[in-house]
Formats: sequence, C-alpha cells, structure tokens
Amino acid sequence: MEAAGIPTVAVANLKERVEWVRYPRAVVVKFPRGATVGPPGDAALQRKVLQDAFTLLENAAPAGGPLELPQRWTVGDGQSSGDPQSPQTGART
Amino acid sequence: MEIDTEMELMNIAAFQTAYPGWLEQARPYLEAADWKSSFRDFPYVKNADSPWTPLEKPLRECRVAMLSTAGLYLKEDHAPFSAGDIEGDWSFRELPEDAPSGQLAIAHEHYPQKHVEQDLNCVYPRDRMAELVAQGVIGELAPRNFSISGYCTRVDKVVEETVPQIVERLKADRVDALLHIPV
Repeated sequence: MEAAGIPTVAVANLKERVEWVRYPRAVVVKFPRGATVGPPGDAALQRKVLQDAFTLLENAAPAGGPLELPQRWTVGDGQSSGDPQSPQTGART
Repeated sequence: MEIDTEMELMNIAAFQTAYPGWLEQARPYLEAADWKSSFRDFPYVKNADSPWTPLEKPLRECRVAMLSTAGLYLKEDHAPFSAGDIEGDWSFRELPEDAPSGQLAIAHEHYPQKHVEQDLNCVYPRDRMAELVAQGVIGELAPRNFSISGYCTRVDKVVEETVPQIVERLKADRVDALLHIPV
C-alpha cells in the first residue's frame, strides 16, 4: 500500500511479527491478542493508542522502526488463549 | 520504489518455492490444530526494508480508512471467511463506515474473542475514530473500511491478489492514509 502511494500506520501487539513485516510505521502495544487497540470499555486508553499511532503517522521519519507504547494490560488467561503461532501474514501492507 | 518492489518479488518467489514442502509436512499438524508444530518451519516472509510514502497533508485534513485482520464481515451481506480452512482465507470484505455494529460478525478461529464480544473497538475502533474526527484530529472517515482474515498461510495470495484489490478501492475512495490493525 505504501508502494502504491498510501501512507499507513499499524497498531500491533506481536513485536516479532512487526519486525518481520517491517511496517513503515507501527506502534506496538502490550495488550493481549484480541484487544489490539486496548481493553474493552476503556475508551480513553483506546483513544490514546490511536492518537499515538496518528502522531507517528504525521511525524515518523522513514525507517524509524516501531514505537513501543508503555501502557500494559493483561487479564487472567488473556495471553495464553488463542494460538500465538498462527501466521499473521508476512505481507507488507 | 523499484528496489522495494524487486525485493518483494524475491521474497514472494522464495515463499512460493518453500510453501508446498511446508504444507505437505505441516498438513497433519494443521488438521490436528497443533499450531506450534504446524508453524515451526513456516516460510515466514521477513522483509529487510519497506516502501515509504509520506503523509501529504496534515492529518486533520486527511480521509482515513481502516484495515482489520479480525475476520469481520457483514452478517446479512457477506459469506463468512473460511475460518476453519487449514490454509485460511485470503479474500476481503468491505465494511461500510456506517454499518450498524449489530451487522458485524467475526469468522476467525485463531484469536480469543472475549474482548471483542464486549467491545468491538478492541479490534475495530470505529467509535474511537469517529471521536477523533469530532475532535478534529482526523479530517474524515473513509466511506468503507476493509477486513481480512489474519489466519492465512498463502502470503503470496495476500500480496498479489488481496492487497491490490484493496488498494484499488482505497484509491477510488480518495483515502489519504490507512490505519492497519492486525489481531
């Protein structure tokens, strides 16, 4: 998509995959799978994550690498359910 | 961006060479839903570089679309993704920006859905985006967003078939920037 002229920013929680894909701009969150943007019902934190992503979109320099956001949220078994091995596509967006 | 395109083609060619062998040895594990064994030797595409397009104008003047990998589709208008297929599904769904939340459903068997069942914004932050427009952070929302299934082993199909079709629609909608939310 970037090659086609559309600037992108990603919000992702699997840091290793972000590094493999080499998103042109990405924020990496410390949230469990299934809650990439933030905890359910926490509009303020969800909005903060998006604002940080859009700030990166406006200001990032090329090849700047992903920005790790400090907020952390885990719930009980939230990290262990699902299958971490499933292949997020290695495609660049 | 010619170098990036060449690199991408090389990456995809290497993937296509490795894929059939991987699928053959992984098939019994995939069928047994043993994901760890299935993807131990998956030929992940690891990019050394990325293309880059600068944002051409302030975000407050931009039309922004979303691309989700959460497997979202419209209950009444779309077939669900083939969530149970061992190779996944590389098709995409168009989600009108104003589609009622009750119309959206998820076909994806590879991430926990308890959070999104409580709050769709966890993976598809449509309410937050609308708020950012109201606050003047973003110019406007695109008329449609896009959904794919994050479980798809055919990376080449995503790159060569799915993404170009989405790009075509983003261009038709005069989208200035894309927010991508993998799950």
